[in-house]
Amino acid sequence: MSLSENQMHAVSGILTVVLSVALFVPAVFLTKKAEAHKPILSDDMESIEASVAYKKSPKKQPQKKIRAPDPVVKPEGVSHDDKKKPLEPKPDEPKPKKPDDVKDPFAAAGHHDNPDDPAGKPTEEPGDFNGNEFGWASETKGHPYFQKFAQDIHDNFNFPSISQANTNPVGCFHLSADGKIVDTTIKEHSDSADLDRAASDAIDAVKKLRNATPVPVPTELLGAINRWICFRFNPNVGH
Amino acid sequence: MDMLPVQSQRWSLVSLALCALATPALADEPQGGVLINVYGATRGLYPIATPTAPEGDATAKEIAQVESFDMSVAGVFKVLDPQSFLADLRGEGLEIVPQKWQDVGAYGVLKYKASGDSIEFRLYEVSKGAKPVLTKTYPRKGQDGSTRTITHRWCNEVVKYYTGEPGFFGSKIAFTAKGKGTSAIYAMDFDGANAYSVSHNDSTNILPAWSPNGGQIAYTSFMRDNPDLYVGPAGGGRPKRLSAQRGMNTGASWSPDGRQLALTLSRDGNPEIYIINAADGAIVRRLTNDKAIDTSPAWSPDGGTIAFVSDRFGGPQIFVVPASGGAAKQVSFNGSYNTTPTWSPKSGKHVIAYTTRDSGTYDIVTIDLDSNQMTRITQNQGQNEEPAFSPNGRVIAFARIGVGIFLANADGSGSATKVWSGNATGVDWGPAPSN
Repeated sequence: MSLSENQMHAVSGILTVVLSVALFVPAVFLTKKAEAHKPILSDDMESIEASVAYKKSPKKQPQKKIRAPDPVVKPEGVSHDDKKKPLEPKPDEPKPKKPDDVKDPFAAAGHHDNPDDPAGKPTEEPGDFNGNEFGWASETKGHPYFQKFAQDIHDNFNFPSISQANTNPVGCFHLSADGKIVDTTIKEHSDSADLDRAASDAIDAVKKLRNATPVPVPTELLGAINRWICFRFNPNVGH
Repeated sequence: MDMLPVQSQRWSLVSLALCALATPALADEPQGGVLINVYGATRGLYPIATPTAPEGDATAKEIAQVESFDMSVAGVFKVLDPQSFLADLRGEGLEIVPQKWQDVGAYGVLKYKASGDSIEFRLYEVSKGAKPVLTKTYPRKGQDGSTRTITHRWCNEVVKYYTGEPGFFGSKIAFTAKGKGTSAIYAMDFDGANAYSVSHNDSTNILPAWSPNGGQIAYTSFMRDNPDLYVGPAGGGRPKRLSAQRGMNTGASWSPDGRQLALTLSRDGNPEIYIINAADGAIVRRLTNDKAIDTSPAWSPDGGTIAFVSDRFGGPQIFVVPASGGAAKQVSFNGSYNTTPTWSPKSGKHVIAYTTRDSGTYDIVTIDLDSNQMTRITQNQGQNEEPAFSPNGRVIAFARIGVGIFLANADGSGSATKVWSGNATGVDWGPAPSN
């Protein structure tokens, strides 16, 4: 037996009405019963947001709100300079290979790990600038050995107060492993003959001082003895 | 020794920095390398050599002596000991062999050659080679043709070459020379030479003050029993009584234009600061009106301010007041006794030198009114008082009680040089000479 389309619509309509009545009547009945058992709010309770109640605390004078300050959280990679951009996260990718045309400053000269080896002649090939042609590897920066070296230079750097200079000379030393000064040179001249003279005098004085009481180059700095160790002579205070 | 190519622009990639006292500090990490910066040289006097010409006669020795003294008190030079010289002076003549002078630490060398009718001078900067950087020839004739005068003029040129300021060599200093029961006004060359009496009387004469053009000296004299103010020719002629108010007429200070003088008058019983006309002594205005003692006025070089001493808040202290009148402001606060203010003539600066009492001794100090920076000029060297600036402000003359008159660098460096022996006070330095 099969129902026609009209018969199917009629049956589904009847079933919908019956189902609705079956759901509505119990709902109305239960609601009325629930209202009949509604609890009475006591005097010391107050209603908030219709559904949450709590015990009312005794009334007090207005109190000052005490609250611990929010902890200062320094976001990682952000400096105190508001305008400074945060550091870029380190990429997970491996570092790109060094281009072939960038020279390794120590590759040609080789490291002098043996302090008994002679220092040899300083490298004077100009090459591409990478900062190492006058000095040493970046891991040596701030080494106490060079700080003391700079202190010796400062102690012997005398410049007449009436003399003026707008640019600063650069003077360099070539050390041997035992700390003696093998050679010196002025790599860069200033616009003041007096300042160049002051730098030259300081270099001579330090050479005399350090050759009289040489301080051996520390093992970790031996790579620097094949290079010029350079100082910029700025007579003015400050940076 | 071969030189590497200069790569000054690339050297800006500096990573290691040392501060002024060579306290090591790291700069930003450069790309690829490091270089050490050394900041802050020891700034000292300019080493200069003043060798005696090889002729070695009296004139040559006098020139070398004057050069050496002038350079030593100029406030910027260190004169090298001639005993250390390595150069062959006879072989060099008016020239120099730079290396010989560099070897003895000289930065500058003065050479000269005197003939019957002129003196030729040369200045060399050793680092610039064998070519002189300054050459002057002076004729030896007339009143200004003396060896001393010519050499002073040359030294002024040397100071001007290095500092851009005129030198004070050839200027004069006036002072009060104390005798038994009297005191006289004297003037002399700044180096103590050619001292002469200005006051020419047997009374008590005190507190000389040069007029701005150097032609007159004002001073207080008791020659008519009352301490009146007189103005006379700097050369020592008959003075004119300019102010004879009842009571004190003391401590005159000329205005920069020479038309007025500030001084202390006690015509109303209490010492106060007044301004009078330089022409007739008429009172222009009264600057102070306080029950305390106000005295020792000093007119600022810009003409706008007058410094003076007052004990209105207890002990004597230095105050300043507008020359046109107004409220006084205390500027000295060290100790309980500060007197005899005088202004530095340096343009744009507001520096006062004065006498201060420190642990029972009197010393000279300066204070920069703009920064309140104080500089001590004397310490543990007798009783010092009455400072006076040189015309270019680089040197201070003062009296050491019972000893004489001294010159010291106004920046507090070096030691004082005695230029006059005797019991002196009331020092005042005249204007710069016309070169």
